[in-house]
Amino acid sequence: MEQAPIMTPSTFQEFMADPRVGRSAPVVRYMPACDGGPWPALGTADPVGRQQIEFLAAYYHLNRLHDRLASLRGLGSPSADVAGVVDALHRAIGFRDLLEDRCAPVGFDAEPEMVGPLALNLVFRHARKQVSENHRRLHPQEACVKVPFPDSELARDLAQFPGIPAETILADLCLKRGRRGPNEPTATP
Amino acid sequence: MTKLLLQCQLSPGDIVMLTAAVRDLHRLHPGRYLTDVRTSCPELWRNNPWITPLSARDPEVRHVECQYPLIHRSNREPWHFVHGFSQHLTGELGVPIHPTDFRGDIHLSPEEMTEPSPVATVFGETRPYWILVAGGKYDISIKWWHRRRWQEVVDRLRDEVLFVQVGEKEHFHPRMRGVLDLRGQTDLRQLVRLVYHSQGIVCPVTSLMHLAAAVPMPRGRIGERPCVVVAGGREPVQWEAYPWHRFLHTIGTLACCATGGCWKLRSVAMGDGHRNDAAEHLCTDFVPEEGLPRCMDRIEPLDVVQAVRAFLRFQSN
Repeated sequence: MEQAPIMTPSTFQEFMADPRVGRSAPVVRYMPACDGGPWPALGTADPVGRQQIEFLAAYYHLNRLHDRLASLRGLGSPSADVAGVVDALHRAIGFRDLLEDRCAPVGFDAEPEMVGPLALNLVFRHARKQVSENHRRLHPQEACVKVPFPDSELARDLAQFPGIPAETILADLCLKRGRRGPNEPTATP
Repeated sequence: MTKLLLQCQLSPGDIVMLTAAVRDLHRLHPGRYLTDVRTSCPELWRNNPWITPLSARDPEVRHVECQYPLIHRSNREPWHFVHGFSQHLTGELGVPIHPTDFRGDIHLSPEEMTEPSPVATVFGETRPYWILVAGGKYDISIKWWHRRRWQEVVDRLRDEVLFVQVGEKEHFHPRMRGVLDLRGQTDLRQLVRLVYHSQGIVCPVTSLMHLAAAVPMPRGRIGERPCVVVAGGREPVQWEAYPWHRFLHTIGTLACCATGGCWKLRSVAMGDGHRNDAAEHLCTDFVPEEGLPRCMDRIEPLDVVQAVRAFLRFQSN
């Protein structure tokens, strides 16, 4: 348990600041994982990474404060000390809510995976996580790949159908001839 | 008989409406068509009596790409979504098709009807519940209401309603407190069963509002399944709403939706490179301090609570 006095962020900007930047190193056990992995690189220019760091910093502070509160209560500390941490927690939760609200219109969301009062991981949802899926749905991609035909008979057949994707013709020809499709794995004995 | 293969890769709500057109085609022209479908949601066609398995390679099968161009007239003319696909099919097939019911056409097997609901499975006993959708897809974020407002609805109804939150895992569905969280845990068929057993649904304009109408009511329940829709000003009321739903909208009360739905796509740009970020698709009256389009800002949690309570009063009588 952390016993020394802890600095609590007093402004929204302090609350969201990367705890890895500063005079003292952050306490690693209070740092939630980022989508199950490491935090984005320090000083990253990627907007998603920067936004993730703000949420990760927020939960870092919440973890510290929750742990501090548990520690004080466990030690039977004076109620004034406990009340001070409770106040700091309330303020921190308010900052966290403000951050969530600020990000809500663009659908950027961090959902904590909790063990007791501590957030061990943040699961992020945002539009860019969806981007490849969205584009796959809305803008079908086409690609041309040159492949050698397995036999000259197929090549002759294909030449009769200009403009039709090779995969379609290959699949049809293989089906007609009772062969396996071009993308199917070879049959196991 | 004419063999038809109806194709559509649109979203679940669209497919629910396509089920209506297939039903109406058969009801109005019995014995004339054999229909099969290739859609993005095969689960919605399970147990559907109008479907006959057809081979896409059968040379006698006519392929029809199903659309609803009627939507482009939805602000000017009195059409509902339930007309959309049937009007298009009318043009494709040259036979008149019109809605024979004001809903989609989802069928459950006898086993699905008698199985305990997913909620009963969680609690080990049957409990009345409402379904809550507190978010949506990223491509049309203008439909979203604020997470704090949804939470207020849940909090205010805490002693009256058990809410079950659903939503696709990858979409934007912020976690609500004080609900049974089934986000990302129901496939489309389980969602149909969840709707079947539910007392009602609270949602933005989404597939759930169409399922609320299209999924049959359990035997012995009177009336229609309640649904409160936080709609704002995007869609024309006559196009989207069902008469027995509470469709909370702002059409006619704001400049941006004074004469109809704005049909915009996003509240603000999301920076994901999606074409829906283009200026012409963005809300023209966004309220930054509320994080909402003005039309959605105009709808208060208490409006939703009162709408739910109106249904609760009816159900308790």
